[in-house]
Amino acid sequence: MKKLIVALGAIWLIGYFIIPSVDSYIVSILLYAGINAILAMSLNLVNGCTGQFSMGHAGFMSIGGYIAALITLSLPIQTGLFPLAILTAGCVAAFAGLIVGLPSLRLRGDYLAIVTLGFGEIIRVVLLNINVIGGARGLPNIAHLSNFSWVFGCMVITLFSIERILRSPYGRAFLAVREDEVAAEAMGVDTTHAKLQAFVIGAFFAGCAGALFAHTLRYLNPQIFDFNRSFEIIIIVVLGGMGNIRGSIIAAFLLTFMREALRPLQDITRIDFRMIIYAIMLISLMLLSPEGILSSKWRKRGRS
Amino acid sequence: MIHLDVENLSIHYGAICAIRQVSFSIKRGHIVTLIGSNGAGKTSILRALSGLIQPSAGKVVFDGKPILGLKTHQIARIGMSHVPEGRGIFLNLTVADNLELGTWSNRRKGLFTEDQQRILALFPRLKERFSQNAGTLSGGEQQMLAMARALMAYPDILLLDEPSLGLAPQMIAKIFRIIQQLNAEHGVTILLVEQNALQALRIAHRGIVLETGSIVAEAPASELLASDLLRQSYLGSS
Repeated sequence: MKKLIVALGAIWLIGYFIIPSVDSYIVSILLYAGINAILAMSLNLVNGCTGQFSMGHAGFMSIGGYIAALITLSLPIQTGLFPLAILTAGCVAAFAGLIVGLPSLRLRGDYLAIVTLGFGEIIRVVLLNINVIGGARGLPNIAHLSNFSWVFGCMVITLFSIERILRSPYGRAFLAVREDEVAAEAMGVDTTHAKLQAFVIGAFFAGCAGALFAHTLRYLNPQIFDFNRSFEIIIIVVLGGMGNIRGSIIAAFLLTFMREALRPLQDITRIDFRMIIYAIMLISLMLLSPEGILSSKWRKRGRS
Repeated sequence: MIHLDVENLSIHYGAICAIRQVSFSIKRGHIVTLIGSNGAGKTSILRALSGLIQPSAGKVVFDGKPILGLKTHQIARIGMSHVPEGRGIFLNLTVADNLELGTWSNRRKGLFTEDQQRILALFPRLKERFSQNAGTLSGGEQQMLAMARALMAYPDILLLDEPSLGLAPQMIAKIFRIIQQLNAEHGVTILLVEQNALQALRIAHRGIVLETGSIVAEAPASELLASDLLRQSYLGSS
């Protein structure tokens, strides 16, 4: 744990001093990778740790993004407002998670996946039809408030929070639900409640990530948060290992950079190779290392 | 004093009647064993008691309170622990995690209190394997873990579903010794479902014989053991 804190501190220090001299394109990829890492960690809490396959994570991200953007757009003072905007975005997304989770978490397996997929699309279509926030035209001119320190800080907070939750009795209840719902019930765990908790916490961090995303891209459009976005987050989770929080971070950086590396190829051939590569990666991963790209020594949940 | 009272319990799976108007009661501090052949409905009764299935009719009174209709986790929290058939161990979690989950119902009292330590002392093997994944334990150790985990909630009554299933004879003897100890030293009331009727009756105070969903005999265990009829039809002639 101490080593991790030192390492993270070192990365931040290096980043803080180097970033200004780095090409802004690379910096933006780094930011998106960090945001993807937050999304993947939060989804991993639901999909990997609690075993509830949710496919609508982009929906919560979009809610967070729009809420935060509206806050910073509508109020004059901006810089000091950003953390408040992030937190509000997270809370509203968490509330949306509660509303979506209440009816759908009674379902299991495939049915839950289908319902959350549906809810994700509903959120997108609703956003598309609200004129005040630009509808299909999108929401431009969002202030550029996000930077390396914000994204990195939020990522670290997400990592520590989720790992702390997993080490608490509540986190163990999440794992118990994943392992064997009947046995968890017999221990006195209210499984519906536990699933809902995981879902709401996941939605909260997704909302925060959405807020960061909005202020990094500086433009929002409902189409950004379509099914492909949810699917991308799921791929990161699977790639990093279901239930492996730190793996999600590494996979997020790997995938985000890989997508950019593939861009020239896509420009030349005019084919979206991304999805083909994703599919190939998923298949080979399932065959070679179903537990994710990281070895099992990372799977230990940091019990110190 | 009556600890658990079951009245006219009926269970249906669709149109099929699995349990037909079964009534029995368990006195505080007793071991009662529910025996009978495959498909007699032993497991169904346990599952109905702990809320895993909803019976179609009947009344269950636990410690003076009706509990029918409560959810499984609610029943677990008021002091009835069910060790399900097949143990229900969280295989990918460590032994310690499993036991900690057992303390869930009274987690506010703190982890591994003195009482819980005293119970764990009954299972020395588990202590040795504390940080190991539960999936790496042997069958007998898993059964011990399942029982220890259920006991972490300080249950008043323990429902055990075939604890001897698939275990070597030596391990079975060990498990039965622990059941007896729990009852005698810790005062836990136990409802024991068993195929292994002879051994179960030897440690039980009372026995209930179940046949295709109805009770055909209920008597002190020693009487049942001596009865020729039961020996022949349910316990195998020996």
